[in-house]
Amino acid sequence: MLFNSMDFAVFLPLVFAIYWGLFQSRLKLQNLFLVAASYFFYGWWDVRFLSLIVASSLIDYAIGIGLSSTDSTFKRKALLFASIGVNLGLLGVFKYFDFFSTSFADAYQLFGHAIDPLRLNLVLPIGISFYTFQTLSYSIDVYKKNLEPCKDIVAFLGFVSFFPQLVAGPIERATNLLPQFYQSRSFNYSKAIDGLKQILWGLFKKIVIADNCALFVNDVFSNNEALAGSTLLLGAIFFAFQIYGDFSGYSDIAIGTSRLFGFQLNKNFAFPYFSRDMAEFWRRWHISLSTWFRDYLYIPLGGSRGSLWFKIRNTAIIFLVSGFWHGANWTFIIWGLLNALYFLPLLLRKRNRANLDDVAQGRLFPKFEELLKIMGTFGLTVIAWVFFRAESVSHAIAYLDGICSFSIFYFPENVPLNLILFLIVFIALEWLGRSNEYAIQRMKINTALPMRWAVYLGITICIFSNINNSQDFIYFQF
Amino acid sequence: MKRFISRVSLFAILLFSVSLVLCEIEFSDEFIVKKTANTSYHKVLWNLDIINNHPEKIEGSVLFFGSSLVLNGINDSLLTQKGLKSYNFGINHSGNEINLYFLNRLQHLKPKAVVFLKRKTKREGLHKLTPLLFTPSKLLDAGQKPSLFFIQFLFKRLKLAVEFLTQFSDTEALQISAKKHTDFGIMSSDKEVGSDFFHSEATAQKIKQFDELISLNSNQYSFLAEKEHPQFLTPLKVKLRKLRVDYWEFFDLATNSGAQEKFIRAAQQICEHNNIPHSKLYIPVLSDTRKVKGYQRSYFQAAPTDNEVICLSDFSKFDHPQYWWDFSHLTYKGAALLAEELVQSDFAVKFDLNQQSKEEALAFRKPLPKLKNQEKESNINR
Repeated sequence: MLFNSMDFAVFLPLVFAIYWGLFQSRLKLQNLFLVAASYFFYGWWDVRFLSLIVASSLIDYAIGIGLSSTDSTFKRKALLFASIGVNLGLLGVFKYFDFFSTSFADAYQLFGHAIDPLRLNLVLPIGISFYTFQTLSYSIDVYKKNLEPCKDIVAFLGFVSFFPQLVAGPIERATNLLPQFYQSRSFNYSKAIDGLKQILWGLFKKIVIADNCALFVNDVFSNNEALAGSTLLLGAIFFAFQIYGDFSGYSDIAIGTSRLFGFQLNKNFAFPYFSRDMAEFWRRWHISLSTWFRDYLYIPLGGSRGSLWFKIRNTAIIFLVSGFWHGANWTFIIWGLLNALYFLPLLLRKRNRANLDDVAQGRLFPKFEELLKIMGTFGLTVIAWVFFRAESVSHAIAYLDGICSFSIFYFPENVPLNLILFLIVFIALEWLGRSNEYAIQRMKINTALPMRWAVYLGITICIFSNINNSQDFIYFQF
Repeated sequence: MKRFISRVSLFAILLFSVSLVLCEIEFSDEFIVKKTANTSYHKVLWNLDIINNHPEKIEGSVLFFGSSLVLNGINDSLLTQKGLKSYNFGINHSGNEINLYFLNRLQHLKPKAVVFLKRKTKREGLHKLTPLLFTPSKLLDAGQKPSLFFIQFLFKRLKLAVEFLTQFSDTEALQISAKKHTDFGIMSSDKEVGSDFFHSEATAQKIKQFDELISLNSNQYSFLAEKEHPQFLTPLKVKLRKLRVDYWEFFDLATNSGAQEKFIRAAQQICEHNNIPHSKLYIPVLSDTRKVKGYQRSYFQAAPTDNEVICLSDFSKFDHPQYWWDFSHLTYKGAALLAEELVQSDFAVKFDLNQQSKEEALAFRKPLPKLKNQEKESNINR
């Protein structure tokens, strides 16, 4: 069920009421109930895929137990590779088989022979890219002895299937989430209110910003040949806000929902469009995925140690894999490589850690230089997002070609002015709250309660009034 | 936990109150037209235009209200030509509350009479335009109950209210809509169903099913076919229908039929208050043209309580594909035939169609294009 649906609006209060009403401070029952609720949540999409997530969970649970019961390096490696094989194998079969098969057939055609590619045409189980990475991180951490293997099957199933973050992240580390299933949880008023506020903000980003941008973006991308460059540019910019609103909105709803149940998930977005360079952008965008790749792929490959070509290779691999993770399409791969191209100059000049603090910290407005850097970085991401959104590489190239034409100086067509108003308000709130976990977490308003509630009411009304434009979450396709 | 629940409840109450206040904002006609401009309901512009800018046309005219059956079936230009100055206020998929809305807007303009569409079955739910045209208080006042339909209405009204408050002026929509309309309200099609479709076995079956569906007599609770060929579930179905009819107010929460009936009564009360004669007109559907063997109600028969319904006694003349473009909508030719039949029937007597009326009607008539040309010009989206 979607977070922005009536089904979830009924599901969440019901689960919340039963969880705290019946199982307050009763750990085992709380965990058991969460597992049941999570499987119900997942099964609501498609009950057939429940068996897949259960099987994947049981295999990694058994591997974790196996890793703790042997000190043999060979056996431990074998178990680790078994976990990697199962998880990546699942991903490979469901997500990438048809892509590789078709690409192979296309490549073979270059030699003058046409072959019919074998296609499995399997439906992609929702959330598979997220929970396989989550269980992989568990197996790797247990192998490295960074984490004690979980002996409580219910806690482990709860860790894998925890419904707020199951289908689109954040990709939680076992070191963070699993121990929370071992601790008794009591209702905390502040955390619950904080959770509700974060859910509200997430819904605003998703329903008001992302879904409204999507209406314009879909029109522009499907008619790009007939539109002026200025309209195409606006479409690309709106897509940048669509994907940010969509994905970070989902993460906010996931984190906020977890707070309602006494869990603390990791931050997944930290106002990435205020970044001053691409390295900072990648420290602030989809943090759970980028840190996963850093810890489990980049560092084991050698990281940024070694020769120049070694650094370039490792960086390119990370971004390539990251692009590939998003989908089995050449557009995602090129998106990843573009970001690698953006990142490499900073890495090679050792300026990839130049901006570790928040922009304009302690100041209301950025300096002119900072503003230029922010806009420059945003511009680079917008170009890359065109590949992310386009249906094919040729479509993306045609789109960019359309932007880079004289018609970029024309007045954009069919501009939704009320959406621009929402975006201005949105960017202002994000800017003012950039030092928080989410924009409205601690609003510095002179008049305390009435003014804050007026803002919350305004946000809620905006959400209700835009709810009919509902679109699927973009990251569900991954 | 208590503090959490009380805070959340307080927020919910505040939210509901503020939303209600926002929903009470009246929308401008410009906004209403802009929202309906490129939809099936763009006729709203014509209706509002005649009320706001040509009130003299309404005075002394017979106004027809109803759904697409009226929109397609009542040729007001022909009726005017024949001496009955008329205007077609039909709106696609009309609910009784939509009739009530327009009647409310023009009640002071002294129309000669008002004719509502008589349907075979009760109207249910709410029309899609209702959140655009009604505030919550006006809808409740008209007879709507605070049901799930009303809650759904509130959500849509709130969305429209926010859009209304944050909108920027858009005259292009008005200009596009204005081009579509003629001096009269009829918007019928010249597209015919085709002879193959009309005489096919599949069509006959569909007509039979359609007629079965609407032949339900609430006093009997069962379909005619069920009485002739009962199945083992038939007694249960009949009992459930009896339950539904007997406790219609309870089930009304699921159908909103009761509210729809109240909208009709509210419209009648407006007419009575303003001394506007009113009646109902039955417009045939395809199944009325054929006497299906074994069915008593193959065409409309006025029940004793329906003595204010105007209905032709014989629809067999309509039994030709040129008059229909689907199972229930007349083509331009069909509407022309209906106009002819009405003028020769009790309808003319009811509205005192005489020589003086003809002359008065002709004085308002603008030169009408020929029948074939007008079919193309008035071929407007249904």
